[in-house]
Amino acid sequence: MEPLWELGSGVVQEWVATAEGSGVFELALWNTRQSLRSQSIIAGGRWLAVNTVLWPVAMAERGVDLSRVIEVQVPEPNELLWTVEQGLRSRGVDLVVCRVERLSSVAFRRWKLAAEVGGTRCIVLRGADALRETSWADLRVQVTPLCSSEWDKRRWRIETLKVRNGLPGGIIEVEWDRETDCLRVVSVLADSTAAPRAAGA
Amino acid sequence: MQPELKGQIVILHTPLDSRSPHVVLGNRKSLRQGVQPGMPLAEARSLVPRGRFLEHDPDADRERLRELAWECQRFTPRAGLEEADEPDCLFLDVTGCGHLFGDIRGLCLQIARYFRGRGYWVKGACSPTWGASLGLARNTASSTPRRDHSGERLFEIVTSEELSTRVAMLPVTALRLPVETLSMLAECGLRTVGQLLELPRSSLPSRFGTPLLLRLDQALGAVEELLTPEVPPQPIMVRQRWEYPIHAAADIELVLRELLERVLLELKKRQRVTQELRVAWKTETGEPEPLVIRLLKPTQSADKLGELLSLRQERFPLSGGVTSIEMELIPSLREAAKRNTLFEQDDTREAEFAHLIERLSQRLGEGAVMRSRLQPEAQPELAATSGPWLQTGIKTLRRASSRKNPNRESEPTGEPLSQSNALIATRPLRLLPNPERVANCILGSHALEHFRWRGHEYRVHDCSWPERIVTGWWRERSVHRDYYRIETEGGARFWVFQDLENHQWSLHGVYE
Repeated sequence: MEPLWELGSGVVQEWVATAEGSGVFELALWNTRQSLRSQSIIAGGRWLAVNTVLWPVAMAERGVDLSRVIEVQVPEPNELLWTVEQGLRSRGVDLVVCRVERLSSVAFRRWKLAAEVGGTRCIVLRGADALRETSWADLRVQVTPLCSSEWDKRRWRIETLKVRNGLPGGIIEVEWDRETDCLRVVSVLADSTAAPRAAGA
Repeated sequence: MQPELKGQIVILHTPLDSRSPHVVLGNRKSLRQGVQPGMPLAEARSLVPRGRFLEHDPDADRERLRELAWECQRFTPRAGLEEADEPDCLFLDVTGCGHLFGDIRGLCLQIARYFRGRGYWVKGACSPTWGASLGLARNTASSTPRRDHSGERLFEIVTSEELSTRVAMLPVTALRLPVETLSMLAECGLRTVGQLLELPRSSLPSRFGTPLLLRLDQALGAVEELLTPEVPPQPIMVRQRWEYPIHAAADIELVLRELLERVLLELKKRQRVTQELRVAWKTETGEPEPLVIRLLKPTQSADKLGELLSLRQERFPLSGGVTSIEMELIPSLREAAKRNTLFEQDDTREAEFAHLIERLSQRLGEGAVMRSRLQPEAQPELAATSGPWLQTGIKTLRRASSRKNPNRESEPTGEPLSQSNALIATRPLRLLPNPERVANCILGSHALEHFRWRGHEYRVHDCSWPERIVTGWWRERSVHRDYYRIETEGGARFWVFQDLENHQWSLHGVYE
C-alpha cells in the first residue's frame, strides 16, 4: 500500500486537526508506517515524541517499539523548540513527532533546516488555530473527521493546504479499514436526478 | 535481571543471524519440557511454543557476575570469577572469614540467604581447593541438596581430611576438562575421578593430555590455583580551591574543563570508562546541590562530558562566587570490544540516539525524558508505566539494539503484552491521566445519546458494545467499568465508560 504522502528524509509534515478525537494522528501514523516500510526501515524506528501525551498501550498496538521511543514533556515553549531541533539534527532519530500550539515562522524555519541537516522526518500535530500561522512544512494538511459506516472503518476529509512541488487545494475523502490496514479514496455517488435534468427530462 | 520472567519457561539461544541458532541454556522448567543445551532453536520452539526465547549475551553475563563479585565483598575481601571464556561461577576466598559469621557453616548460610534474597538460586560448596569446590557445587549439590530447618539449601562443606575422598567420588566431568578429553575418558569407561586416581600417574599425560593432570592436581590441592579478585572501582576525585571566590562563568567553565581533563587522564590510566560524573561546589552563600551527570553509554570522551556539563550548567546557574569545586568520576568496566562488521551504520545511529537522550536529560532534567513500558494490568491507567531513560541504563538499549527486527520474533520483544491481542488494538491513542466526567448525558437506544465534554456538546452517531473492565477485589480500590467506543455525529471518536457502582459516565480516551 502506498502512503498518501511520502515521508522522506528531511521532510516536515504538518497535520492540522479541526476537532478533538479527529483521528489525525491515527492517519499520520498510517502514513508514516507506509512510508517507512516502503523505505525498508522497520516500524520500530527510533522516535522522539515531544508533548504528544500518547498512551503507550495504543502505540505498541500500532507497531511502535516502545524501547526506541523517547518521550519528552516540555512545558516551556522555548525548551520545546530546542528539544525538537535537537531531535531533528540528530542522526540517531528516524522520526520526530510533536504537538505544538503556537509556532513562530522563524522557529518553524529553523526546524525545517534542522530536519534537512539531520535527514530526520518530522510530524507536527496542530490544532485549527495553526491555520492562522505561516507554515514552513513541506506538507500541510487539514483533517476533518466524518461519520463512517462501520466501527472498524474510519473516514476523513483531507484538504491539502500546502505541498512542496505540487498544487494545494485538493480535497479528498478517504476511508481507512482497520482490519486490512488499507486506505481508499471514497467515491462520491453522483446525484441521480442530475442526468435526467440535464437531458431536459 | 528481568523479574517479569519469573515463573516462565526461559530459554537462551545463540544469535538468530548465526548459521544454525541453537539453545545455549534453559531454566529448569524448560529442561522438564525436554529442551537441552545444543538443541536446534526450531526444535526447542516446537517443544515449548509458549516459552520466552532470549538471545544469549555472554558479555552481559560476565559483567553481571563481576558486579555480584563486588557485592560479595560483604563476606570476603577476595571474590573473583572462574577462569573461563564464559564464566558462570563465583569464587570466594573465605579463609579466616568464618568466625565473623559464627563459623564457616554460618557464613555459607548467609551467602545462600543473601543471594536468595536477591532473587538468585545458587549452588555452592566450600573446600580447600577451587577445583574441588567447583566440582562439588556443580555435581553433589544438584543431586542431593541438603537443607536447614528453614528450608535453606546448604552448601557442601569439605574439610582437608575429607578432600581426597570427596574428590574421588566426583565424576570426571567435574574437572573442567576439554570436551575431547572427556570423550576419550568416556570411551575408556572412566567415569569418576577415583577411577583416574587408580591409574599410574605417569601414563595419564600421554594418554589423555596434560590438562588432565593439572586439573587433578588443582582439585586435590597439589598445585596452587590463583584467584584474581574483582575489586570494585574506586572513584577518581580532584579538587580546586581558591582563596578568593571566582564569579565569571567563563572562568568556572575553564576550571571545570581543566578538572575534567585531570580526571579523564586518570581514568585512561586505569583503562576504564565512566557513566557518572559528580561536581560538588562551595559558594559564598553555601553548598548548592551537587551536579550529577549520568550517561547511557560509558565514555572516556572529554568533549562529550564537557558538552553535557555545559548544558547542565546553563540550566542551573550558580548564585554567588565559587570558592571550591570538587569533581568525582565513578569508573566502570570497559565496554566490550566492538565487533568489526561490514555495516556499522546502525551502531553509529544507536550511539547518536543514546547521546541525544543524554543531552536532553541534562538540559531538561532526567524526569522530563521518559521511556514507557507496558504492564500486564487491565485497568487502563495502570497498563503502562514511565521512567526516566537514564535510569533504564545501557542494558535496555543493548537489548533493543540486538533486536534488529522486533516483528521477527513473537515473544522476545520484552513487552508483557502481545501485539496479536486483538482486544487492545482498538485502544485510543490518547488516554486522559484521569477520567473526566461528562455532563448532560442522555441515554437512548445507544448506551449514550448525547453528552457535554469540555464545553462542547456531542451527539452520538454510533456506539460499540460494552467492554467490561473489572479489577481484582484484592486492591484497595477496585474498578467496575463498562467501556464504550463512541462516534459522534461530527465523526470524532471517544472512549467513554460508565462506572457500574455510581452509574456516572466519564470520558477516558480520545481517538486522536
